[in-house]
Amino acid sequence: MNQIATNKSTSILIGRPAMAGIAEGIALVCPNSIMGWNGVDMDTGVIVEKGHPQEGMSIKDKVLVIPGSRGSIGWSDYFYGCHLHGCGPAAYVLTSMDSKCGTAIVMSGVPCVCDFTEAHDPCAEIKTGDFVRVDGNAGTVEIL
Amino acid sequence: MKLSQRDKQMLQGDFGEVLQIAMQKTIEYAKVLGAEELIDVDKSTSCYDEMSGFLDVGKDLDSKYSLGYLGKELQFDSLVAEECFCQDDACTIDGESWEICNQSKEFYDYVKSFLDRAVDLGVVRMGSCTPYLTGWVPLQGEVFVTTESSNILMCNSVFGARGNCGGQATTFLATLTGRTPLWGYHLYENRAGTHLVKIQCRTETRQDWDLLGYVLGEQLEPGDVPVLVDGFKKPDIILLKSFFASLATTSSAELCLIVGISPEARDMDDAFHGQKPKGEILITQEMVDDAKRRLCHPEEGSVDFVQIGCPHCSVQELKDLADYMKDKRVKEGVKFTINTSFPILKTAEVNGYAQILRDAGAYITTCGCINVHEGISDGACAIALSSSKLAHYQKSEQTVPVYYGTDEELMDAAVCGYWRETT
Repeated sequence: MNQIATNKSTSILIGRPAMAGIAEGIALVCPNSIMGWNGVDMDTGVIVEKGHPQEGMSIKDKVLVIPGSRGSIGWSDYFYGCHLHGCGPAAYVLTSMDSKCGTAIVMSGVPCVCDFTEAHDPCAEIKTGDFVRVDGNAGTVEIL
Repeated sequence: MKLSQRDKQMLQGDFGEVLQIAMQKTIEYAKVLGAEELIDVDKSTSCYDEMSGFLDVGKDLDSKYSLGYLGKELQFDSLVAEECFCQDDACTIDGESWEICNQSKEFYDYVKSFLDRAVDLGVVRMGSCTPYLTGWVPLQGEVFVTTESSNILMCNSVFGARGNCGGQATTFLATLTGRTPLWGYHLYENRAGTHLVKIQCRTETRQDWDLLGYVLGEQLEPGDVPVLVDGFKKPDIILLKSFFASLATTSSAELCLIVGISPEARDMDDAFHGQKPKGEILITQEMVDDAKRRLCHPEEGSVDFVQIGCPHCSVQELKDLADYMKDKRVKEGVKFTINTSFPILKTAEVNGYAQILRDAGAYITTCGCINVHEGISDGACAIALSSSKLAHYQKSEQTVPVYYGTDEELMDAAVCGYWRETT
C-alpha cells in the first residue's frame, strides 16, 4: 500500500495518485456523493438528483470531492457522458477508489487522487468553494 | 504490473490494434484501481445498443464503440474473448415491436443494427437483466463482468462468483480482452461482511423484499457489506432478484451476505471472517412503510400506464400474473406491459400463460423496461410500477404522478384505469 499522510500546516492532503496530471479548480464537496442515473445532467453537468444538498450546482470544471460513487452501475456512464459533453469535473478527489469511479476516470483521463487514510477525510477537510490543486502525479491535494 | 504472456502479446499488437488499445486501457484501469495484475473473465453480460445520450460519437457499432471506448475509429473482428461467454443486457428497443415503445421503425431498425452486429461479433442476444434465470450462472469462484447492478449482487452474494461493478466501458474492455484487474471483490479479504442487519419488518412477499432492499441501501456507506443473519423468512431467487435490484438503487453495495444462502456465509462467523461486525443496521417496519409512502404518489387518480417486471419476470411470475388476470380485461386506453426475456416469453407461450395475459390486454415486452425502452410511457397521464427501482428513477424523470404498489394492486389499476389508496 502507498504511504499516506496529511500535512495540515500547509493544507496538503496526501493520498494515492490514481490518474496522472495536475488540475486546479473550485472544490465541490459532496459527502454523500451523487447518484449517476438521474443524478447529474450529462448535457450541463448540473446535479439533478432530487433532494441532493447541492441540487442545481454544476460539476463542470470543479474539483469533485466525494467518498466514492453512489447508486447503480450506470454511474460511470453518466459521469463519462458528462466528460464527453464537455461538462465533467476537472479532477476527482475520492476518499476511497471504487470500480465505478475508476471506470469514469480511466475513460475521461482527468487527474485523480484517492484512498486517503481513515484519519483524514477529504470530504470533511476540504470545503465547497475552496480553491484546490490536485496533483495526480504526486498524489497530493493542496488547498490554496 | 504483472502481465501474462498473452497480455504482453496483446499489448505489443500481436493480435491487432483493437486488442492492443483495449489492453492499454485495461492496464490503465488496473493502475487507477491500484491493482497489480489481471485475471481471466469467464462470463459477461454487456450492453451493445446505440447508447444515445451517452456515446454521441460514431454512426454504427464499430465506430461508436471504438471511438467511445478505445479513442480511435476501428473495425472489430470480435467483441468477445475466446474463453469468455457473453450475452447482451437490456436495451432501448422491444424484441419485436417499435409501436409499443412509441418509436419509429427507422429508430428501431437503427438500434437493431447494433444488436445484429454484436451477434455477428460473438455476443449472444438475450436482452435480459436477469441472465441467471436462463442459464447464465457464474459458479462459485468464477469471474464475471456485467452492466447490470442487481446482477452484480446476485452473482457475488448468492452464487459466490466474483466480480466488481465497473461500468459499460470497462465491461466492454473486459469482454473484448477476456481480462480484468484483479481487485476489489475478486479478493477473499474484501469479501467479509462489515455490518450486521437486524430485521424487524415483514419479509413474506416480493414487495416486502423490494422495500427491504430499498431501505437497507439507504443506510449503507460505500464499501459496506451487509450481512442478513436472521429475523427474516428465507427468500427464494424471485424475492432476491427484487431485493438486489432495490439494494443496488439506493446504495453502491456489490456484495450482501445472507447466512444460510450465500456459500461464503454458512454461519455468522463465516460471513464476518471471524471478526466482529463494524456496525449494526436496524430495519423496522416503520422505515419500510415510510419508504413505500415516499415512492408512491399520495393522491388517488386515473392511471393509463402500468408496468410489472423489474427485474425481468421469471416464468413462475408470468404464471402467477396469468392466474390473476384470467377472465379479467385491461381497461381500454390503459397500456399494461410486463417485462421478461426471449426464452421465458417462449416458455410462457408454450404453457399458455402468454395467451391469457394477451387476451386480457397486456403486452409482454422483451429486452427492457420503462427505464431503458425509450418512449414507452410517452403521453401517459399517470404511471403505476411495482418495482421500487423503477419508481425511484421514474419519479425523477416523469412530470406525471408515479404510483408504487404490489403486482396485484397494479393489475387492479390496469383493469379499472384508476389508482386507489390501499394503505
